[in-house]
Amino acid sequence: MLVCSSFNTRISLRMSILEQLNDISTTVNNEINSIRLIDHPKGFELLPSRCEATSIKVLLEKHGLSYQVEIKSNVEYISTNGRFPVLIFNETDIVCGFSELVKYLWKRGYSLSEKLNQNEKCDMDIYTALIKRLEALELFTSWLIEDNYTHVTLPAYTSHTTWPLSAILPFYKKRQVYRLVASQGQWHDISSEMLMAETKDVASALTERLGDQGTFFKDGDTGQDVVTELDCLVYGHLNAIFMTKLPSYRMKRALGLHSRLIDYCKYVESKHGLRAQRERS
Amino acid sequence: MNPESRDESEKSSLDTLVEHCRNETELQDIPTELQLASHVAASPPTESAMDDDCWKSTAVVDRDMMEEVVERVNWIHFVDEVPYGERLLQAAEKGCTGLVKEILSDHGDIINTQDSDGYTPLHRACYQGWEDIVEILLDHGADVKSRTEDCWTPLHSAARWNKVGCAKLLIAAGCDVNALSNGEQTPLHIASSSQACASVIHLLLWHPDTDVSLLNNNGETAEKIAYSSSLLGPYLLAFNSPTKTPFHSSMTTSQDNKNLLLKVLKHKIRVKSVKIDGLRRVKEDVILPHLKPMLKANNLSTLFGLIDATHTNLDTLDAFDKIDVSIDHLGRNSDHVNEVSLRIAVCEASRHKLGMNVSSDKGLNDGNFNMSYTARNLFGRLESLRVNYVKGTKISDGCSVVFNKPYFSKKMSLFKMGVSKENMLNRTANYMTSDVKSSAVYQMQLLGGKSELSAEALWQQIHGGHVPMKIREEFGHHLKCALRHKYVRDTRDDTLVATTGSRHSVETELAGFMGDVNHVKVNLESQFNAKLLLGYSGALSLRAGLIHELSENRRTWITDKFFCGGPGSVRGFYEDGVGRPLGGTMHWGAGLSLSRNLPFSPHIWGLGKFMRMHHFVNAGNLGNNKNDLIIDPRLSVGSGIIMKIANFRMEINYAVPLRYKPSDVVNHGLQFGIGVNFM
Repeated sequence: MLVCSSFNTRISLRMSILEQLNDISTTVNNEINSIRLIDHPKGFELLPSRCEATSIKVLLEKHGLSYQVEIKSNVEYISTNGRFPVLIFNETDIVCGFSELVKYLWKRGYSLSEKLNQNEKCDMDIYTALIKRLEALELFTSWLIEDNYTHVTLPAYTSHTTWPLSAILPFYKKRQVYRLVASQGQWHDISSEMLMAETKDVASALTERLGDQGTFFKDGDTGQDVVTELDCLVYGHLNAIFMTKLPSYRMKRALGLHSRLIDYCKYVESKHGLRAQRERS
Repeated sequence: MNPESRDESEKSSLDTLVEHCRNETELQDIPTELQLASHVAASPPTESAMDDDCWKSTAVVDRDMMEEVVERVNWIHFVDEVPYGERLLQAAEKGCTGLVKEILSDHGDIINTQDSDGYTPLHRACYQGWEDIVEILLDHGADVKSRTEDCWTPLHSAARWNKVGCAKLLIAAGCDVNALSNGEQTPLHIASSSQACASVIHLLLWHPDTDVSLLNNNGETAEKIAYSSSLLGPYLLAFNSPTKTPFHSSMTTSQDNKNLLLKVLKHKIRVKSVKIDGLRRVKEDVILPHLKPMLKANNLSTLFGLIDATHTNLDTLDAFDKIDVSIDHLGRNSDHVNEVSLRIAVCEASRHKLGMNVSSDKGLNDGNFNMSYTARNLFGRLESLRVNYVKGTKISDGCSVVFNKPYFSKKMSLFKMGVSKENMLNRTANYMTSDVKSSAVYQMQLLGGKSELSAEALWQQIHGGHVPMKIREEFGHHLKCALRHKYVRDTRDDTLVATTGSRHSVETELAGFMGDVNHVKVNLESQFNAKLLLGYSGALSLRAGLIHELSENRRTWITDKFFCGGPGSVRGFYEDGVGRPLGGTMHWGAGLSLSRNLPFSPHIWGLGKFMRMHHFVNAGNLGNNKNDLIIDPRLSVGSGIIMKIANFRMEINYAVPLRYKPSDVVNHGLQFGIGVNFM
């Protein structure tokens, strides 16, 4: 299954390379003056958005860009592509989600993966796609596992709405998530066993890639760790998954079996200072 | 009083009318005995047939007419010694067309033969009402001025027996409408003395040559005779609808006749009874409040006014296809007061109604196409259920189900309840709103204005594509529960292009209870109009609004906020061009406008009479606190043309914004607006 999806990713990768080539001609050199990060109120964000938020914050920190966190309960609707949190650059550009942010920054000359060779860049895209599957699993965990849904997701999601919206909106959202998860994972039948298997799949793939390296990539010349966007992304997801408490959390357990991943998180935190400064606002 | 069907049968000019009659007789050919026999059975004289379908306007007359139907004789056999003059007289009297023709073809010279009383065949045919024979006789040169012993002309005869068709033919042939008999009676005097002669009176009164002031040898005018014989009805009918004359429309009734009208209208009357026929599903208690006012009429002019009003009121109930109000009986009581019985005949409309129409309810530059199904009169008291689908410029699509329940007390209130779903596009800011709304509305008349109390629950989603970031931050689902009151008092002479009067509206909204919105919103609008010098009229419009938020964590969304600018408010700016993109929680606007009819003759150009030119000064501002309102008010001047088309007012202006902020979207130059409510 992994092979199959990697193959798909290779095709989409070529497409994205072409896109990037096109983009080079239109590279803009806008300076980044201000960044507003619009997020859910603390405590009401769900697992997927918490993961994404951590990744984004880590990436921005790594680039040394300072941002202001704004709390809005309607982030989901502000977003143009359904991914959140939402970043607003210079009060005009709206950037939603991690991958859009990477692209946006790359166009403006902010990149962590310049030192990589072409093969490594391909690898990076493949593992980025792997994290997409992790995202689907996060959505599954939050929305489609009944315990989590009733005890965590539903109260959090409806905390800022009143009845009858609090009854209608989760219903629609749940349906939407079901479709998204089903289509993204190409699963015909969604079950907890499936979740476990998928999570293990992803985890073992990540572990395998890491081997005994500190980060995913190494500088070819010096042999030192290179912190790339992929590290930010993976760290963000893993960290958020490990830090979140859910009533039924088989995903966390499945990931926890791979102690290499926990070690990785600790390592990048301590060695490379990847830490989302949540308290900052 | 609705003489429409009469009008339809008589509205052609006299000439064409006579022509028409001729054609009809030609078509009939020369009837054989058999044909005639069937003709007799089928139709009484044409006049009563005509009155049959306009019974409503001359109900009194008809009943009398029916008793006088005389049967036509097909053929008369004479013994040889009867002279041809006598034969002609008898044939003319009995309506024997074939015989008349036969005699005249051989003996044309006896056309004006007279009997012992001086009656000619024409007299006889006239009082019997044989129009075809009258025509034949006139064609053969019968003398319309021939006199009987009493000096009656054929018109007198026709008038005495209410033969309208014959009277028309005689008048067309050039007889004297004011011919005097021995008693100095004109045909009008003759007709006025009989209950049965309404139609002829009607005809004569409308003839421009008729002199109503002539006195007979008793010194009475025809009207006085009519009054004493309680026969005002035809006079009323004749004058009730001045444009509906049986003669050519360019002919107008003489001044004397008008004076007569005024006099007649002042006659004291008493309404004895009002009867309504044709109610089936509609309950009586719904209709009665509309009928009661008519009982209060004390003279004819008020009665006619009330009849008209009743007709309109019943029409607005939307329950009847056809409503005919008629004076059923006109008599006098012991105190010599004229008594009137009214009869209203209605035909109930079908329970199901499908409709399509174009409307505008969201203000400016906006049109909606509606398709609806209405189930009317559900429980007999005009309750209705309406299902509507709408597609338009601002409402991209929507549907609604509304239940209506009117109450017919003094306040004429209406209760409405419904649910609706609408998708709307805000074109100025390019965002969409999807609303699901349920509301209950109670409308009533209050203090000379219209008062509306409504409760509403609204689920609204704001979404869209490329919009400014500030608007994007408003996106999402909102729930609003609101209690609203609106009071409008409008005394303007014209709601679209007013010259006098004023309009005031106060709108208050309390949003809160449950939902995301918690505020009090007040909006005031006033307009004063007055006529000024040189044909100019002036209008001063003032408006102001305020939203006061009641709690900090629940806020007011963009869809509730005030905007300013556009052809309907501060001209010279694009719609909502002031204070983009988010609007404000306070606003004010003021407009001063001078308007007059076009200076050149409007008849040269067909649309000219619907047009006015105007010059205006507009000012306005909006903001989120008091200081915003004072700093930098927007100001614009300009002039343009106002046009009234159907229920809409259209404006084409050249506007110059004088004061504006860089953030505003100004429209310096031509600007077009169509809508209902303008500043």
